[in-house]
Amino acid sequence: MKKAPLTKRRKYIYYALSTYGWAMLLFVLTLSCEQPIDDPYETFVIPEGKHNATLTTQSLQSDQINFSAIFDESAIYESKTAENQHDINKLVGFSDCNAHHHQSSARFGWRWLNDQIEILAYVYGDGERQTEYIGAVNPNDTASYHLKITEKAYVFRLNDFDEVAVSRAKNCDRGLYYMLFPYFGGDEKAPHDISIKILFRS
Amino acid sequence: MKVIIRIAFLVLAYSSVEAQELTVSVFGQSSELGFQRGYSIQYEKEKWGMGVLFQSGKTISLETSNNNHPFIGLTIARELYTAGKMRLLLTPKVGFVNQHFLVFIPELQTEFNLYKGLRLSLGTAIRARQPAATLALSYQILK
Repeated sequence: MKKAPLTKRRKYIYYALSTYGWAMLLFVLTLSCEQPIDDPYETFVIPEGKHNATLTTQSLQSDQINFSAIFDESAIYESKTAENQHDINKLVGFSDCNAHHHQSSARFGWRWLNDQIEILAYVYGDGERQTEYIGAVNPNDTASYHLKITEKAYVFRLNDFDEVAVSRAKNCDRGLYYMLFPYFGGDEKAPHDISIKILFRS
Repeated sequence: MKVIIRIAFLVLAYSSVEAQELTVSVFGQSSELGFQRGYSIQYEKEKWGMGVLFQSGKTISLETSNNNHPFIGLTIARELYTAGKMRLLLTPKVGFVNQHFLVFIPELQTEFNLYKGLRLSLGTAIRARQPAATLALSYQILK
């Protein structure tokens, strides 16, 4: 049987689909040959007067987060109120199984204090906040961060500092764990643009 | 996990009775989590489809490790356009990675009908905030 000719509209769709299809095929074929880019780090900028860098969303896909991060001189700041200098800003972490992050979560925290960037464990368990000092880094240093979930604790590791384990209030086992990205504050908002480079490793 | 198995059972049981169209696929996906290969079985009726899939890294295994992030989930297909032997489909997936972590993967596929029930699909998806590419080969086992 003779096939009916394509209408004009269907021809356009056909050509669009062909182009997309071939482009996809090229994309798939060239993906494995792609040269690594010079700077694989992702830059998160918290604009002056804001708490968040660009809002982004991602679900956690394994029981650990490994990343490297580089703060630059923009991590040096002075709070409007002296006591707020002790407030903890957040770097990266996740909310625990099916929980809001103010209920159950684990994050690396940071603050500019004592002329260094202090790195802390910042955990919510059943709505209760716990913090613990891990170590310190300097601006422009590349530091390696590792956060692992175990059945009873969140285990934090920074470079060669001792591991810090904070107890986990387990609420469930299987579900949605969403990732948390850089946040300034505390009470105050970013006093100037703050830039943090992060390289996530699978 | 039980929910996925139950839904899969219902889908497969229903498809064997109605037998509208049942397709099996093998696929590979390159993403932030590395290269993964997988299998799926999907029931299709008119412009909608639903199926189950499994994919993992170096080994077809539920074992979790730094280079094996097994994913078990459901896929829903919605045909957007058809032109000649090609179809454009929206094929989002939802399921569990590493057995515990619920994920949603938006995906768009272009499917070419190569020969009778044999089809080649090229897909773009988003995994872990990064683009992913999928190449799949499907065969229609029941119609």
